[in-house]
Amino acid sequence: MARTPEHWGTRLGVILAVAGSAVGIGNFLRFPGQAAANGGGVFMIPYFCALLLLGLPLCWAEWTMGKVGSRLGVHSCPAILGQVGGHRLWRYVGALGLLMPTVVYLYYVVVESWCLAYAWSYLTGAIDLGADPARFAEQAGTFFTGISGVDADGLMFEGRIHVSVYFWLITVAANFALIYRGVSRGIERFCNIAMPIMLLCAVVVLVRVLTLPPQTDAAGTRTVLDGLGFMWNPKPLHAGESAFAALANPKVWLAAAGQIFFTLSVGFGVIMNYASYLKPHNDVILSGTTASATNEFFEVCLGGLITIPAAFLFLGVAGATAGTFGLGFKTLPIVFEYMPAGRLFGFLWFFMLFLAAITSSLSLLQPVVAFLEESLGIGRRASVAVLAVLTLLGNGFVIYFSKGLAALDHLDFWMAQVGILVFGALEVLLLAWVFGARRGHALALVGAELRPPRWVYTVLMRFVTPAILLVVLGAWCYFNVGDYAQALAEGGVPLYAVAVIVALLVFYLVLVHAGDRQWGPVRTMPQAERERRVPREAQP
Amino acid sequence: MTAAGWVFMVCSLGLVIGLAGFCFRRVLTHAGAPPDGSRAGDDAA
Repeated sequence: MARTPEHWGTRLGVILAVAGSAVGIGNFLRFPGQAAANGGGVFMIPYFCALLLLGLPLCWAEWTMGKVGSRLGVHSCPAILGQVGGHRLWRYVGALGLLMPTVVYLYYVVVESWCLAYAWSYLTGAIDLGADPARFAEQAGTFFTGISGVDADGLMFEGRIHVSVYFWLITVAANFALIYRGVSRGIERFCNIAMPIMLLCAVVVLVRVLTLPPQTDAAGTRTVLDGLGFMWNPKPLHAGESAFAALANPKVWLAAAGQIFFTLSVGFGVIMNYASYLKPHNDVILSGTTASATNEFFEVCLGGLITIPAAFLFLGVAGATAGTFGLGFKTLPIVFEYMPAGRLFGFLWFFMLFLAAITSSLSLLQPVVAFLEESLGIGRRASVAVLAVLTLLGNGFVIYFSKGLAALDHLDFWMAQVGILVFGALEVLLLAWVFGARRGHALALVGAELRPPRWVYTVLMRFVTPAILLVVLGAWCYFNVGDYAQALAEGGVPLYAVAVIVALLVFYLVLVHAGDRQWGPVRTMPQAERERRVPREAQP
Repeated sequence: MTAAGWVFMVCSLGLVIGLAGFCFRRVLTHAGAPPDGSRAGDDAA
């Protein structure tokens, strides 16, 4: 059965959709924490280096590979990689581009549902930290435990269905309803509305934070400028060191590279899928750069000015160094409790986080839906249903093993820390070495409204980006694998998480095998394009 | 907030706002152009 080809409706639509995919909870909670913990303002030097040498080249590589898909009318990562690599073996490598969005979705949608639960609680007044400031931290912790079940496994299903399960189900239903409507009518329309609302909410909260009066407690008086200073002042990692000594610490560069990867959504196969819905002669370079710049605006200009300064102003150093979830779900509710009209600003903040999360989770589902349609030859309704069943089971794993957020942490470790580096390296090596850097550059120039010099492909993507990626991956393994191997040897949730990942990978490899028969042998691009045009021209 | 903190903050914000402004300006000024645009390099792939 021939499917109607799907395309983005407008140029701005695809930019907002890709930017929406990239802008997520990490922009507002992870980035400020990483910057403050890794040298403050000095962190921005490795951060911008990673953006220029890793983030943008990988982003352009994914957009360019997506263009291959758009020219051939295929949208799934395995089909595109098979074509780019010129061999059907690459289709099996493409299974990684399905595995990663699926696994990340399994826990990301749970965090997304927390944001919805918090937004609803602020709207209805259900979140109440009491009247005694000395007990705010305890009350905020209790509220977070109630939402996340962080105290014990199985808390969410014990005896009765916990209220947070309803928020999870609403979030899942919203995701699948939008994804079912398709690329243009679902994702694009939603992002066209959600992105401006997010911007508005963030700007309102930013203005509120920057105009807050000084706060006084036992430790002294703190102003907003002190909060900004805590975020942006260069500071040493260890006492007695120079602030700029942080630049000699590989962990700081590793943190910057990891943040850039995570924030731009590169190395997931998501951008490739979104770019494949462009028309064959649409620009990719300007669109890709604009989407990345939009993401950076949300991260640096909004995330970098709101979270840490607000937490520092009211709670001092302890509040501003609480980690991603601690900062977002325990510290900020205390900040809103102190803040005049805090309930309104709390609602705006968590509603914005929910929108940021849902525009990202949609992008995690769409590549898999496209793959199921292509590999099994089924319609959108059936592929959405298959994915819904699969992910509901996976969500169950994350929600059940909620003690210490163990399942979430371990899945995140393998996918958002290791997987994106590995798959990102494979993507850029494939484009620059197998497909050919000059050929990739020529393809990117088709319809280009921003023309990157050839050396970006022939030097940067061929040598510099892969070399940095391999160094980052090596350093990362050096610092982390020992600890993780020990955790795996102890069994329990770390082992279950690996089992879930392996089971999903096997499932996708089997489906890629089925898809391999559907797609047939890999042809050269001109051949494949000719074959694609013939049936269309034969139509009345 | 130290002078170095101001420098890092203003430079970072300026860089990001400058990049985003440049990109959006180009996107919006090209918004009326036909989507096919230039086909230079079309045969290369």
